Amino acid sequence: MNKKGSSSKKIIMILCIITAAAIAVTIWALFFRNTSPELAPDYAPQQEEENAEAIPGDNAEKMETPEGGSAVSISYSKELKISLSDETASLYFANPGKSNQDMVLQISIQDEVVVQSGTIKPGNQVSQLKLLNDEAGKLSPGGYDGKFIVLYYDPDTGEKAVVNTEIPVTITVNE
Amino acid sequence: MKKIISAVLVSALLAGGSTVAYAAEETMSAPGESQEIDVRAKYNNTATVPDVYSVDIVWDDMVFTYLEEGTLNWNAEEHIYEDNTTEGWDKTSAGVKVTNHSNVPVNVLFSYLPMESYGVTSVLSNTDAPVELAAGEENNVENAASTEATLTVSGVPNQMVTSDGIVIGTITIEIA
Repeated sequence: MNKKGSSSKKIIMILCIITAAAIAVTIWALFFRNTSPELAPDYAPQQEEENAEAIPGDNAEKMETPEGGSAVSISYSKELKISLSDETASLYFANPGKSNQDMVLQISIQDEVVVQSGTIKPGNQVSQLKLLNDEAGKLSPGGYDGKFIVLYYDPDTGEKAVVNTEIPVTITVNE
Repeated sequence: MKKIISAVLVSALLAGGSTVAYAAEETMSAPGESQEIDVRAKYNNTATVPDVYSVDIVWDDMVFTYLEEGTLNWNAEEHIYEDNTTEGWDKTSAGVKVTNHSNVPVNVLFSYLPMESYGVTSVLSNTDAPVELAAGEENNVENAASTEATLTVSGVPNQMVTSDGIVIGTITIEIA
């Protein structure tokens, strides 16, 4: 009888320890795990943006560039939509062929980056980008003020330029 | 009674359901008469002019090199180095220019965030307030509105700054 009692107690203790560990992991995953990139990469992503498309009819010559300097052109719309169910952003952003830098586009809402593109090479545009993992869960249907953050990278070395651009945008979030 | 009321209601429905088309009809009752008919032209403009944002940004080489050149010659008699070196920046300023090719005005605000000092002082001009750039004019690309800022460096870099270079600051251009 005593042996049975002590073995039951051991089992209960083990189960309590396992339960406590599971709760601890859950709390960490919910509140302390950092899943979003907060720092712009110093070197361009290796992968080109999969949703990038060639800009129709773009055959302009490269812009005149100061020696050692850079020249870029950007075209964009200041309104975009986010679909929570698809976890995608519908937008318009273009890196015309006359630019001499690759670009990476971030969409930031309340100082949190919710979208980060792959490399957008000159002559390409994007009309759709995927939200970063877990970002859809942080948004609710409605309107947000956000911004485009445009980062520039040397197409040969991949090194990030010391100049970047921020553009306030209006974001409509739908289910 | 019910039949009478029903008949009246049906008649009313039929009367309301039919339409009478009044065609422009004039009759001329006698030979030689003339009739004037107005011909009208209308202009209905539903075309829209979407806002198109397009901006060019050009910047100079933003690498500033502090050069120490010449020789330190050892004087064996006095056990001192005779300094025959010169030092200084290869350049002290570099510019960045923003040009508006949109069909709407934009406001441009320059800002600069220096990193650790590293012994170098770096300052960007034209950061006090946004500058409004007018919308592009038709057939006038060359004179598109633009604004510029200049980054200036001074001081002597410390040992943290190597020949590989180090980022000492970031220029942000906000286009609203």
